[in-house]
Amino acid sequence: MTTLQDHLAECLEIIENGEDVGVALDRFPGWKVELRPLVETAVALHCIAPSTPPENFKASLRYRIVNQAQKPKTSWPWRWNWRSMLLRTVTVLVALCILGTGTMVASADSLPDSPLFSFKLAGEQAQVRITLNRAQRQRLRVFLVEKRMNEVAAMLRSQGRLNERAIVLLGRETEAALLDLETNPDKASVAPLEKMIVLLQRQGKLLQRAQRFAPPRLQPTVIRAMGLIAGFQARAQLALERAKGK
Amino acid sequence: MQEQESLVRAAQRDPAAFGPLYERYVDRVYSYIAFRVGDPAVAEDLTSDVFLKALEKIGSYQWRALPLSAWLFRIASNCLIDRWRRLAKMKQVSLDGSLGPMAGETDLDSLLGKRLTRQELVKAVSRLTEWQKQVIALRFAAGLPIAETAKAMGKSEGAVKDLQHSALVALRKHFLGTGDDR
Repeated sequence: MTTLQDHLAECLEIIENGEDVGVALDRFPGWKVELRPLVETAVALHCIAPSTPPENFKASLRYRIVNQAQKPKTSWPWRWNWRSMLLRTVTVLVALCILGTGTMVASADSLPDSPLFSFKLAGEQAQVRITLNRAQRQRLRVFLVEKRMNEVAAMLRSQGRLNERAIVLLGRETEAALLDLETNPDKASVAPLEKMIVLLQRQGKLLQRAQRFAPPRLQPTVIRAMGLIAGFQARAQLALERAKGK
Repeated sequence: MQEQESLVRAAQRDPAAFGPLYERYVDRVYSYIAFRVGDPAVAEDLTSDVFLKALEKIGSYQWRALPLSAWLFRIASNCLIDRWRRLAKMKQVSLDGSLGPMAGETDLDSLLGKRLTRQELVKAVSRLTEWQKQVIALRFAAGLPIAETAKAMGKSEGAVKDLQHSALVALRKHFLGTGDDR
């Protein structure tokens, strides 16, 4: 017989694979009342329990391990790894992990010029953090890039609303997604990478539009963002080839 | 999984190829240890011990017997136990071994409806049983799934699910019931 413990484990696994808490709970209609408080506690733990080692410590331990291995010829792979690790090192977490459902719902459609937008971002970061399945996390990140693009587009439509934060966040989200996708890309990364390439093409056009309509004070930011697109596209293409090659 | 297996084989042939395995696990192992000891400096020392031991023993590691993550976390767990034994002998600290305040203390408005701080988490976790602490550290600090947690602890998945449930119930009660009990 399936017990509450089994349902709890299954529900948490669904959430760790990138599903929204509410949607995951909906899959267990008969157990929702018992599961909700435990799932909420688990999600809070996922946000507050992890800690990240300082970069200087990681580098020094890496150095000690290299020395211990006593194979000077093999310094190449280490250098490669150091680079890939740097690339992978996305913004480490999450001072605030806002999980209050009401605020999250209220902030869901907010744009970067809204006070609620920070709640939305924190919620998204928490979702990324607790998505342990790599393929699911990559898809989630690509989805977030598209979301940032839609926000910039929405702000462009409401004249005069576009601000620097929206453009900077779009660049950051794109960079974070790309880092995740290009680190050891495999077959599961092919679909999100293909989607990412399409999004980057659209992002280029979106930024061109922003350049036409943005006020002069925003022009340097927009131009900087446009300058990054070509590099992003080349990196995504390269990662796609590597992913297909595996 | 295949990629990981080939990384392990490469490291077994040439210890210098241990690098990718280190990169893959260092964050999780550190997070697990930091959660258990609470002191970042001690967490760094123990994380170093874990990887240096792993490098030393990788030649004798057998893939079929245990997944690499479980093997690494067992080494980590043994390092923690050794430390607590040493400290107990020195009578400097209790055998509690729960997490303490970390640098960059984090507050969050949780779904619990109140501000949950790391301090409160410390206090709540210290009341759990040793096995419950272990499950919480592996599942939520190290981010291991149930199956790998079970292998790292040498327990069945069912037992881990039970422990996870009882630990969450206890933590939930503590978070809701002792908000003013600080």
